[in-house]
Amino acid sequence: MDFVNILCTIFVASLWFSTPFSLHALEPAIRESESTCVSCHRDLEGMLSEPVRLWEKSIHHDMGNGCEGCHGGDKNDPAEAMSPQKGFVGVPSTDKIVDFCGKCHVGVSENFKKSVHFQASQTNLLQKKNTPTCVTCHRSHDIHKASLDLINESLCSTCHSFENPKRIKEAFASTELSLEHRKEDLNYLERRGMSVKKLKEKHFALRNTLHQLTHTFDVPEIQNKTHSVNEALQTTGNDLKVLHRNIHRRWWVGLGVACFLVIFIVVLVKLLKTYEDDAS
Amino acid sequence: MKKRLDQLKAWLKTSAPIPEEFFRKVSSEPVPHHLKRWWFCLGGTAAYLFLIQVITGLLLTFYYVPEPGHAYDSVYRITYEIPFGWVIRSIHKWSSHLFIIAVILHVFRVFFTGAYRKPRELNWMIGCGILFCVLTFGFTGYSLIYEQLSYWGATVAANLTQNVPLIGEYLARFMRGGDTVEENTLTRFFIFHIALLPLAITILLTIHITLIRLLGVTELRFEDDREHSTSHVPFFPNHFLRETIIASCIALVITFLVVFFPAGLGLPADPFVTPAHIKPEWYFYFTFRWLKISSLTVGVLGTGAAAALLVFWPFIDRKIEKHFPGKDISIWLGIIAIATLLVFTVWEALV
Repeated sequence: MDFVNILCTIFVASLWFSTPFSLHALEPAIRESESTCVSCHRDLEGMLSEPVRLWEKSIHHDMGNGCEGCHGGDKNDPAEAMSPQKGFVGVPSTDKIVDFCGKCHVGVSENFKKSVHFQASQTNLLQKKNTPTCVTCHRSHDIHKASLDLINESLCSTCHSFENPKRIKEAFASTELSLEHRKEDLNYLERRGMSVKKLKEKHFALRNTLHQLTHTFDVPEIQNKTHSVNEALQTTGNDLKVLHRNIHRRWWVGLGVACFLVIFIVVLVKLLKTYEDDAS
Repeated sequence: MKKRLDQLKAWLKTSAPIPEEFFRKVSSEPVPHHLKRWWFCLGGTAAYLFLIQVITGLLLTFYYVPEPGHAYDSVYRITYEIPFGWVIRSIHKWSSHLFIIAVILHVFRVFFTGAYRKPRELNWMIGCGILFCVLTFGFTGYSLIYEQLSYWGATVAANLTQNVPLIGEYLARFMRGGDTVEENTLTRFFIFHIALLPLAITILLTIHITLIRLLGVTELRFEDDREHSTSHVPFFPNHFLRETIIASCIALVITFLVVFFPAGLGLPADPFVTPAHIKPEWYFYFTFRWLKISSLTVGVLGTGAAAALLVFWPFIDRKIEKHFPGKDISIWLGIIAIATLLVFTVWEALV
């Protein structure tokens, strides 16, 4: 059998064996190692297994944050998994939720504490159980990624009119879109070998300031800040243009080298053919 | 001008009295006609890529600092700040991948053409030694970047080594230079990558090529070769030109990869933060997947057994041929082995 035929046969066979059908059959064997919390709760019945199912769809799961990241405890030791000595907290009370999430989301929780939502809970305007907290919008376990879609009429109008949230959403919409585009552009430049570390840090800081600000629910301040973020985005846009030019310059040089090599190869092939014709 | 050239020629003859006949003999040595196929030139391709590795590697050592506190920053400087650093690093990276592909394909070619059989058993074993050196090259080189994945890749590899029966503990300590991946580990990997492995591979390559010269290239005759009146062609210019064409094609591929997919950098190594998904380089996907679906001891022993099987295959094949003559069992076993290797590799890549 010819060597190339053998390789082709093996390649086609391997592709077939690697199809989702084959992978599905072998799924139990490929499951990644998981924490004791997940492996126990997954097999429990009813509500006890629900957090795992919900968490698997969450942004925390995608970012690699497991149960222990919020609830504490020891994820590797079943005996210590729910030990208060290891910092385990099961279900935090409503008034503790902001601090519970604020362990990691420091800036957000600080801004939230300045907001009318938090003030309302402090002045007993609302009953404790109706106090809006992080989980009211972002939910618990199936935690939603912070996005403009979270500001929507059906959610906000359960407590108040949609007038103010709508103005906040409008102020954010174009800036958020620009930030998303800029992020994609920075990732593209990085993949093409450009140094974007400082630009990424700047972008991250801008995005963070904006997202943390959402939680103040202060319309004039948000409108003011989005304006300054837009200006900052325009300034960094010029730096990006220079990097794009650099990439294009590399491509042209690469194309030049490739053309030279192609011509060189063609000449060599012709030369080899003359020698082979002479030999035969 | 001609006078000057004659003077230079005369001076060279006196200073280095190598007979012209020697060069004529070496350059015009006949090579079998079947070597016109690219897959019979994979050994030469690998040697060419090794040369690129040596040159670019040497250039990288001018700026690389093999110390945990500075390794990542020095790679960052090479990639983003030093003029043409990105080109050198990208060529080094991509030619290393192509080098490994060329060596693996060379092994496949030798296997399926039965070129490992008597009297070439020793050369096959030396070839296997080169393959293992090349894989170790890849592993140590990747670890030197000192980014998150390379750091944790080294940690996992050391932990796996620990499970080798009898000598595991000793090997793992030797590899790390301590109990964890730290300063000593990086220094050791660096010495292995730039001194010991190049030395080992140079020695093995020299023996490999010497044995090829002594034993000759396996003579094969393909159907379409019959139309040619001669069974051999001269090394120079025919074979030399063919190798140069292949080298130029590879240079073209490398140019494309360097320009469109330059070498990047992940997050710096952090011993206190384990990444969610640790993955080695693609050439270890097979082993990694195998270790995931088996127990640690079985995994390590199985990998060792597979390596031993590969090294001693010429002797195993002889036994098989003796019991089942003319059944091509070795070919089918080879196909199954490579299919398994590809399935495990693709499987690991997909999850």
